[in-house]
Amino acid sequence: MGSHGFVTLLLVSAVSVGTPLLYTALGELISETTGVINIELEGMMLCGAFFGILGAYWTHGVVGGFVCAALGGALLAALHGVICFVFRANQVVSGVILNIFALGITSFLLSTVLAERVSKSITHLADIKIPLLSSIPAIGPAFFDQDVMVYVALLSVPAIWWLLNRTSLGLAMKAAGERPQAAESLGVDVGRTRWLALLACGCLAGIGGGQLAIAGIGFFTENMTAGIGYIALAAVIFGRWRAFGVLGAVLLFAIADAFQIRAAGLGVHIPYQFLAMLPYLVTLVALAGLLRRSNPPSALAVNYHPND
Amino acid sequence: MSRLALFIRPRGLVAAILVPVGAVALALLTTGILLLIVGSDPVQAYKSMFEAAFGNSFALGNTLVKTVPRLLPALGIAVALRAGLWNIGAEGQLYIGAIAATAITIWFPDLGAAGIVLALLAAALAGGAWGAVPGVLRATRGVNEVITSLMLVYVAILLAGYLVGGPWSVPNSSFPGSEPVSAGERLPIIWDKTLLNAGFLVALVLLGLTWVLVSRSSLGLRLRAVGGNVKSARLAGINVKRAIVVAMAISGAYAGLAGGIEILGVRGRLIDGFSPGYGFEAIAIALLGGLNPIGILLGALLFGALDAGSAGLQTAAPGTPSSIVQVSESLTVIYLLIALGARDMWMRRRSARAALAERSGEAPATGVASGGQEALG
Amino acid sequence: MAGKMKTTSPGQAPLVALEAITKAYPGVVANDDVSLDLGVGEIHAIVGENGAGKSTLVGVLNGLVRPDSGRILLAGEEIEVESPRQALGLGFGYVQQHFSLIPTLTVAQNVILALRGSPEAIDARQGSRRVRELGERFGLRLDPDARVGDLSVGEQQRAELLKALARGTRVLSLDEPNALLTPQEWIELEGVLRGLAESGVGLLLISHKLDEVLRLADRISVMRRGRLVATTTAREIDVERLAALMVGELVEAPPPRRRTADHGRVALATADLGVDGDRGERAVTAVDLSVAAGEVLGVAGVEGSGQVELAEALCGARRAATGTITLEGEDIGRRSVAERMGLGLGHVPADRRNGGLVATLSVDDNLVLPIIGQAPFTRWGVTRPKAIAAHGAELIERFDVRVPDGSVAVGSLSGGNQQKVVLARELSRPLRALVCCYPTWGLDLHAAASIRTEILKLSEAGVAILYMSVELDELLAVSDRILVLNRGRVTGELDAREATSEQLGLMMGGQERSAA
Repeated sequence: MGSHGFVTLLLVSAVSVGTPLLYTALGELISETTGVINIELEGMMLCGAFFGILGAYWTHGVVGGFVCAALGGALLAALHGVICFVFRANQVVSGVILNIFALGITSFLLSTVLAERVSKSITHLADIKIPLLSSIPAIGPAFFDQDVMVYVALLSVPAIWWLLNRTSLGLAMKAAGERPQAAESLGVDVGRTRWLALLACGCLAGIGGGQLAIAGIGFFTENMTAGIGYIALAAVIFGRWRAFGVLGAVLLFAIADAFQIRAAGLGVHIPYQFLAMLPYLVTLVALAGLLRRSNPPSALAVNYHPND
Repeated sequence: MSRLALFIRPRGLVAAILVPVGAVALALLTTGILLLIVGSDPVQAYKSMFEAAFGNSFALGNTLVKTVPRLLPALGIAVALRAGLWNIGAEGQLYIGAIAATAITIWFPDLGAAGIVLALLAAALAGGAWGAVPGVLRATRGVNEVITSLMLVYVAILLAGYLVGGPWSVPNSSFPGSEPVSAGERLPIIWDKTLLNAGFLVALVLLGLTWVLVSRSSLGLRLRAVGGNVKSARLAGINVKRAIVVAMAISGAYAGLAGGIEILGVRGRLIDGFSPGYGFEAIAIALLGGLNPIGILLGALLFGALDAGSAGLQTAAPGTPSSIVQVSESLTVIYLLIALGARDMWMRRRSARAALAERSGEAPATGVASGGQEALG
Repeated sequence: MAGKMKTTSPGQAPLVALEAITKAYPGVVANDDVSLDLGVGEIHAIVGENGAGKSTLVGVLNGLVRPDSGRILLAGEEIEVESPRQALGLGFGYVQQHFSLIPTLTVAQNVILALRGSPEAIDARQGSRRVRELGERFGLRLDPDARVGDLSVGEQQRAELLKALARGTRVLSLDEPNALLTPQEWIELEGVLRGLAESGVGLLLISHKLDEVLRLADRISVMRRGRLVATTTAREIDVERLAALMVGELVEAPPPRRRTADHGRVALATADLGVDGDRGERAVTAVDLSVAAGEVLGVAGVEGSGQVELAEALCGARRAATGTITLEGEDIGRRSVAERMGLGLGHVPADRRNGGLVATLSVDDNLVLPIIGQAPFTRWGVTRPKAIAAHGAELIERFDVRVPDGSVAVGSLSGGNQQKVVLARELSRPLRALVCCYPTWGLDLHAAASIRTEILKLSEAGVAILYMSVELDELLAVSDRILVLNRGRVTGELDAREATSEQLGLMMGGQERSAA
C-alpha cells in the first residue's frame, strides 16, 4: 500500500478503526429501537475481545473466535437483561456497574486463564480483494480490499435498515420502544422483543470487540477497548437512531480517529485529544438539537412490566 | 428517617442494613470461589487485603484516603438523584475539578493555605460548571442528562490528557504529568505516620452539610419535589428549570472538589488518567448507601478498603490479580440490585395478598411502566 | 330501544363467560369473585364508579391482566388467556381508553402490528391498500398512511376500532368509548356498534354514562368496589336505580346552586388567548373569557378540547402563545407560577397525582411547598420542621383530611383525601380567582360532593371561579354561565339556567352559537 496517497491511507485506517465501532453501534441501534439502553456496550466489547481471543485459541480458528466473541458479548447482555427485566433495576445503573464488572472479570481472567497464551499469535483474517471495485482510487482499497468481517459489517447496515423499516418485526420493535403498553395490547410480546434485541446487541458488540482483538492486534490486553463502547453509544445518537445515520456517524468518527493517526505524517500537529473529543462533542451538539431535531425512542430506558 | 431512603424504604432499619450487607457478603463469597477456581487461596487473599486496609494505622489511613474521592462524588450523585436526575458524569466533573485545582497551583504557587482554599474552591466551581452543562441542556432543551453527562466525562479526561502532555508537561520528562504542587499548597497530613490528609475532614463536613441540604433545607424540599413529580412541582410554583440546573451544579461541585482534594492531597500533581473510575464507582456507592449520607459513607469506606487492600495482594498473595477488587465491587452492586428487585416483588405480592384479606380500596391501572424513571430523550 | 333481547337460550353455552375472577393489586382487590357472561350478538354493559374494577375485568378477558384465580370459558370450553397476543388470536378485540396505538406509526402500520402472526397478517409493503379495504368493510373511513399521533380524537377512536376488528373479532370490549367523543359523535358510533352486534359480535361495554348505556345495552352489570353487585336487563332498570346500585345507596341530585344575577367586577379575564400543547400544536385558540368576583364560569368540552392547556396557561405553567391574561385588571401573562399565586390566583390541576401533588412527599410538605421559602417555615434556608408540621395540622383539621398525621406520604391517601389536600393548599392562601380543572374526576359521589361544596363556598365569599369539567350535569349544577370549547376554540357561551345538555353537546361538537 506504500504507493497510496494520504486519502487512501486515511480511509483504510478509518475502515479498520470503524468496523468494530460499526458492529457495536448497530447492535445498540437494534437494542435502543426496542427501548433498551446499554451503557455497558464497552463491557460487551471487552467480553467479546477476551472470549474472541480465547475462542480463537481453543478452536485454532478465526471462526471459532468470532463465535465465542459473540457469545461473550451476549453473556453480559443476558446479565443486563436479568438485572433490568427480571429484577427491574434501572438500565443506566446496571450498565455502569456491568462496565466495571466486565473490566474486572476480563482482567482477572487475563491474568489467570489467558496469561501464558497472550503471546500466541492468532491467524489473521485474509483480505479479500473484490475485482474492479478494489482498484477505484481512494475508496477502492478502503472498502473493497478488506477482510470478510468488514464486508459483513457494511452489509449489515442495509440489512438492519430493511429489518427496521420493511418488516413487521421491525414495526414490533419500534412499538416496544415507543409505547410498550400499547405495543402489548397490539399483540407484541414486549418482553421477548426486548430480550431478543438485547441479546442481538450483545452478539454484535461482542463481534465488534472480537474484531478489535482478532483482526486488529491478535491478542487481548487489559481494558483494550478504551472507550470505544461509549463512542458507539454516541454514534447511535448522532446517527439519529437510523441504520444509515449510524453508518455515517461511525464513518465520521472513524475518519477523525484515523486522521489523528495519519496527521503526523503530514506534518499537521493537532493534539490527538482534540480529535478524540470530536465524537463526544458533536454528539452533545446533536443532542442539544442544534443540528436537526432527533427523536429517541420514547420509552428508551424505561422498563416495562405487564401485569402489576 | 423516612425521608432519607429512596431506594431502601425502611420497613424497619434491619432490612435497610441487611440487604446491602448481604450483598457484600455474597460478593466476597463469589469472588472467593472464583479465586479457588483459578488456584489462589481466597482466605489468604482476603486476609492480606484486610491487613492492608485495616491492619495498622498506616493501612487505615490509606483506606480513608481512598474513601474520600468516592464519598464526595457519591454524595453529589445522591443529591442530584433526589431531584430525579442521574449524574452519570461525576468522573468527568472530578477531572475538571482536578484540572482547575492544578491550574491554581501552577498560576499561584506561593499562596500557601490561601492557595489551598482557592484551589479547592476553583475545583468545586469548575466541577459544578461541568455538571451544570447537562443540567442546562435538560432544563432548556429537554435533553436527558444521562447521555450528556456521560459524553462530558471523556471530554474532561481527554482535556486533562492534553494539558499534561502539552501546555503543562514537564520539560525533559517522559512522565505525563504536570509540575508538582508546591509543598505549601499540599493539603496537610492530619494523622502522623499515615498519608491521611485534611481532605478527609472536608469530606466529613460535607457529609453533614449534605444531610442538612437534603432533609432540612427549603432548597432540598424543592429538589425532592422536582424529583417526585416535575409537573406537580411546577404547578406548586417551583422554578423547575432552575432547580434542575442547581441540582446538577451542586452534584458536579462535589465531584470537582473530590478531584481537587485528590491533586492537592494525594497525587501532588495532575496525572493523565489519575482516577481509576472513582466517579463511576460513586454511582454504585450512592445506591449501596440507599442515598442516605451515613449509608454512603459506609459504602465509600467499603470500596476504599477494597482499593487499599488490593495493594496488600501484590506483596502477601502474589499471583492473585488485583482486578478481583473491581470484580467484588461490581458483584456487590449487582447482588444489591437483584436483592432490591426481589424484595420489591415480594412486597408487592405480599401487599396484594394483604389487600385480598382486607378487601377494600381503590383500583389502580393495569400495566405499569415502572421505575419512576423518565425515558431518555 | 332496548326491545331486542339476545340472551343465550337455555342449554346453550354463552359466547364467552368469566367465572369467579379474582385479581388483587398491592393495597386493593380490583376483582373479587366476579362472574359475567356474554351471548352471541349481545351488548353487555358494565357500569360502576371509577375504581370499581371494570377495566381490570375486561383486561383479564383480553390478556392484559392475569387473574389470581377464576376461569374463562369460550363457547363452553375453558381457555387460558395469557397475553393480548393470544386474546387477539382468539378473536377478542379491545378498544382501550388510552395507550393502545403507537402514535409514531401510521394507521396501517398499527393494524399490520395487530395482525402480525395471524392468518390475516398483512405484508408490511402492501399495508395501506389492505387497511383501506378493511376500513371500508367496517364503515370506518380513515387515511391508512396518516400518523396516528396526527389524527383527531374521533379519528383515533376509529383507528382503535379498526385495529380491534381487523382480526375477525368475535368479542369486542370497549372501555369508556364515549369519554373522548361529543354526544353526537357517540350516536354515530352507536350505529356502528349496533351493526356489529347484529352481525353476531358480542360487545362488552364499559361506561359510567348511564343513559347512554340504557339506550344501547341488552344487559347491564353493575360493579362496586371490585364486586359484581347486580346483572339485569336494560328493560328492567332505570337511571336512578342504576346509580343507587353503583354507589350502594340512593343518591340525591346535587342541590341547585343559589345564583345571583349581578356579580362583582371582573376578576380574571383573557383576551385572544392562544396556548400551545405538548406536541407543539395550538391547543387553545383566541379565547376571550372573563369571570367576575363571586361568579362561577363553567368550561365545557370533551377531553382534549383544550381545557387543561387553558388552565395551565392561566396559572402560569404554560406560556401563552398569543393574547393577554389579566387578574383584577393587572396583566399577569408574563408572571411566573409563584408570582401569580402570590397575586391571589389558585389552581386545582386536572390530575392530582401528576400536577396536584408530589406523591413521595408527606402531606405536610405538600401543603407547605408553595410557601416553603417564607417565614416561619424557613430561616437562612434551613427549614423549621415544627412550623411546617403545625401548618399541616391546621389545614388537615380545617379541611377534614382523613389521615393519621401529616408525616405520611400523600401518595398513600385515597383520591378524595388527596383532592382535599390540593384544595387545602390552594384555599389556605387569600384568593381572588380559582381555576379548577376536573376537580371531582375519579372521586366517589360523596367525595365529589364535598369538594364541590368547598369550591362553591369560595364563590359565595367573592372569589371568581373557573370550573372546567367534562360532565355536563355537573357544570349545569354549579355554573352561572357555561363556555363551550371545541378543539381549543370557544364555540359559544350559555346562561346555565337556560342551557341544556343537548345544546352543550352540539356546541362541544363544534356548532357555533353566539352568546345568549
